[in-house]
Amino acid sequence: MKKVFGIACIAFISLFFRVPLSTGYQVGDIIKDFEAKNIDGTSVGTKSFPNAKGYVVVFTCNTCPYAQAYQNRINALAKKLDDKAWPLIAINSNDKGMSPGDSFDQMKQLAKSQGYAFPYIYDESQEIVRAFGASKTPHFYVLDANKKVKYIGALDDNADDANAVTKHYVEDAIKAIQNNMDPNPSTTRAIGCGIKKRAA
Amino acid sequence: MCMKSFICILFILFMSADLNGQSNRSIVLLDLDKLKSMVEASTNNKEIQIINFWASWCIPCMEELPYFEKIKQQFPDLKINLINLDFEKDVKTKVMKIIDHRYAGCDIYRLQGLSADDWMPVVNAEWSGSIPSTLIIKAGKKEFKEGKFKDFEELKNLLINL
Repeated sequence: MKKVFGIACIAFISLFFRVPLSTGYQVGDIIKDFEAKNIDGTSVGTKSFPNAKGYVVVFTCNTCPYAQAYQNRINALAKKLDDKAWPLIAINSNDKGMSPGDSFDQMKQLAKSQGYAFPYIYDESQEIVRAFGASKTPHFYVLDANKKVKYIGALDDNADDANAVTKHYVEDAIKAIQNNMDPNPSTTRAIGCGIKKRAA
Repeated sequence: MCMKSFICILFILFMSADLNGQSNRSIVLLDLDKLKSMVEASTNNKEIQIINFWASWCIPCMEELPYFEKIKQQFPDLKINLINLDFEKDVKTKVMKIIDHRYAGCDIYRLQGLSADDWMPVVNAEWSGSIPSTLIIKAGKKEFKEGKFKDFEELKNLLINL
């Protein structure tokens, strides 16, 4: 009887703690390998980097002004990182029917004009974005060598002005992983454009 | 004397209208405390509030922005706060044009110099950060919608059924 009461209590209490609705990877989850077509025509994914000490995965796109505000900063970060040890993989998951500016051809053009120093892959099937549960662009994930999610959120704390940034969340997360520590914070929020997902 | 001050007042009015250009809309800047009191304010009173987060560059935001104008016409007692999230450089050129002759019954705000990571959790703990997003507060109850309302009816039903 006591047991039943206990269970009822827990059930009752849990009503007050709504589990976040977001599905997809959370900090601490180990991701499944993914790959997709890169702008150079090859298939690129986590397995392309057998010696990686960690990964930066960013959901971005061609069209979102917030993603555009970050494209130089993403490129600068990729150039700063050792591309074998710390690959940065950018993923465009926007449906080209819903966002015509996000087609594969337009990705190639943007990467060329911006001199992207990182793979920019096209998640046409939207399998990758569904697995991650990314909701907006830009949306950053930092993984350790075991592909365990260590950080989810923004690149830094100022989208408006790169010179006014005070917290470099992604770079700090990388440094923490390099020092065998957990990033703090492990999640942050930022404004972004909703990823154009087709109905599942 | 009377006439003089009357002319004086007229002159001031004329000047101030001129300084503002064609627009007499103002945007109120919010800091974290003001935002907190806005989203908590009506929890204990009867005021019904709709708080929408939008930007001129956000296409779905611009599609649904007129819903808020329409719902204000249907429910004049509603308080509608439109919180603009444009880049600072676009306020004069883009935002002012949008609000200039529209959304008369709505109050327009901006968040100044705040990191999203600080203010977003104040609005809703589960908000991932995509916009548009809308918070409805009615008789102490809150409903948060991340993403665009499918149509005006969805907004209206959410408000009525809350």
